[in-house]
Amino acid sequence: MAAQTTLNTTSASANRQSKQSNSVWNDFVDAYNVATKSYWDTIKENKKLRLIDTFCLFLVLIGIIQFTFMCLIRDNFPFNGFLSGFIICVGQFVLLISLRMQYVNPFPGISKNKALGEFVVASLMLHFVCLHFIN
Amino acid sequence: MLLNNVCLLLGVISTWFTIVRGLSLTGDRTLIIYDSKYINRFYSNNNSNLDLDEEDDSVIDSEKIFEEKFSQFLCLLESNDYNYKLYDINNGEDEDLQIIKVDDSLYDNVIIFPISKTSLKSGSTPSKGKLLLSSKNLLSFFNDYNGNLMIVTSPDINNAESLTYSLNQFGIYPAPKNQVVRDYFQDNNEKLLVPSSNLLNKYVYTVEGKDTIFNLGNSSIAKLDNRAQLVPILKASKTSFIPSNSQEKKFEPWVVGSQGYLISGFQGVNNNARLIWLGSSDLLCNCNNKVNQDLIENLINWNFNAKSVIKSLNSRHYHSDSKLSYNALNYKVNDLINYEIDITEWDGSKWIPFISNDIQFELRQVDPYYRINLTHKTNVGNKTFAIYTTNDFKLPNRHGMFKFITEYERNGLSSIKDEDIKAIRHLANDEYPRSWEITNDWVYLAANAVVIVSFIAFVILFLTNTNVTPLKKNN
Repeated sequence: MAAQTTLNTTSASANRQSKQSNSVWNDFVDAYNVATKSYWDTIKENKKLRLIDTFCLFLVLIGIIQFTFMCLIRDNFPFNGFLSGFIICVGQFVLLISLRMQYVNPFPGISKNKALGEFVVASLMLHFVCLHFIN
Repeated sequence: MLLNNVCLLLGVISTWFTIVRGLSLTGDRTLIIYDSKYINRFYSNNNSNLDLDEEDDSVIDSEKIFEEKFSQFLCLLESNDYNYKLYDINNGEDEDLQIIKVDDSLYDNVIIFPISKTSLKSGSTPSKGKLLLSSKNLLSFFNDYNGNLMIVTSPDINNAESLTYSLNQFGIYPAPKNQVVRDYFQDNNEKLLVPSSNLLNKYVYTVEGKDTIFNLGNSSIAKLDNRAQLVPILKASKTSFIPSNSQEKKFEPWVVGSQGYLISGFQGVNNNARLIWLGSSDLLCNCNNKVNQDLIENLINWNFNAKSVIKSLNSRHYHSDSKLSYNALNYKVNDLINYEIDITEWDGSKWIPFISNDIQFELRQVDPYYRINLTHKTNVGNKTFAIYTTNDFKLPNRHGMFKFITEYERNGLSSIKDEDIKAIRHLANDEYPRSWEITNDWVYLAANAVVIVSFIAFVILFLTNTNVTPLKKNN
């Protein structure tokens, strides 16, 4: 008898839980849909942002390719080479994101053109450092 | 005089017929210390218990008796070119006798026949004798002056405390008084027969097919400590035991069966000085000389560094491609190096090549990075030494101070330790391969190039595009 009641209660709680999780899932899906929609909307309007995002994706791909290469040959021998190749991707990605932030939401007192100039200078420094590090 | 002639004759015969003659490497000055009371009691013909404190004549008698009873042993020493001197511990005349005198040892080898506790204690013994046989003196002689010791104890007397104490320091624990070893499976007379198959060390005595039986007479037995420096030479048979004597009420045998040892050696690690303990003076006595002669000669030769002595003459290492030594061109990581060492053995009369296949070389920095079995270079012939080589090996990819060591320690052989400390440097900054020389690096180089090129393209596209155009296009 007692076992049955506990069984009942557990099944009930499981139901409640599933309902809860379902609602959470639905909320999540809703939020995701809203986010992607707003994202695509902003992209549609702004070609520069689209360009930045494409480049970001490209950088991520190159980074993944290098990492899988290192895993496949199972050797990190020119470790400085790997670090240089990987860090140039990560660094460029970070710089792009900061550029993007300033384009979406300009910082007070810094014009968009100034932001672009800073981005170019910082990127050139990054490339310089990475090319030296690989040798 | 007669003795000398006989010895001379024997010496001539031995030089003609036997090739192995033990010339000691470390020196031939030998001192034989004996206790005239012990000799008189157990080896004089009338066998009466003489009180020796009475007259000097008896002392002279005992020397005669000693020379007579151990003449074969003394002959053996003489034929192997040892200059020996006899010293009676009870003899008050020779007060000046010392083995160590102001930072120098006066003898290279000391043979001590059984000495009883009472003779060391009694008033007649000169204080010099006590000092001479003090354990401090003996241990210092062995350790600091590379002196070789042969200590004979007897089961029939209370052996001098300083002697047993010294033996204990070496890890040899002889049985107390009256514990005489017997083996009735070999012989039920009052003697101990031991077959040569009980010999334990091939460097001390090589059993060459023929089985002989040694006669040890009244022999003491010893326990041995578990030490690497100890060289057990002759063990007791399985069937041997210590019979109890009715005088003692509580009797506990010191050891049983093959636990005990009848002859044992000891070799110092650093100085290669050697010690032999014998449990029986009957072994050296004339009465058993026929059967024991081979054993005694081998024991003496080993004891006094006339056999199984090896040493390294020279070790060198060099770059295997250019043959340049370390001084000409310092070693760096991953260099190919060749190491060689010359090892020679004293065969009793001359130096000969020492041949073995278990010598190892080690390259150490705290831990051994390499442990390589050395191979004998047979193509480079030499009559006095053998050249061993590691062949080419690659230095580890690690810089720092490294030791080039050959350590060869075998029970019964003198130990070799040849070490050389050298620095192995890391690569200089221009000695590393450039990125484009490493094929793996091409992937990462390509990634760098792609990122830079796409960055340029990005900047150009970014500047040429305006926000307005896509809207227009979309429309």
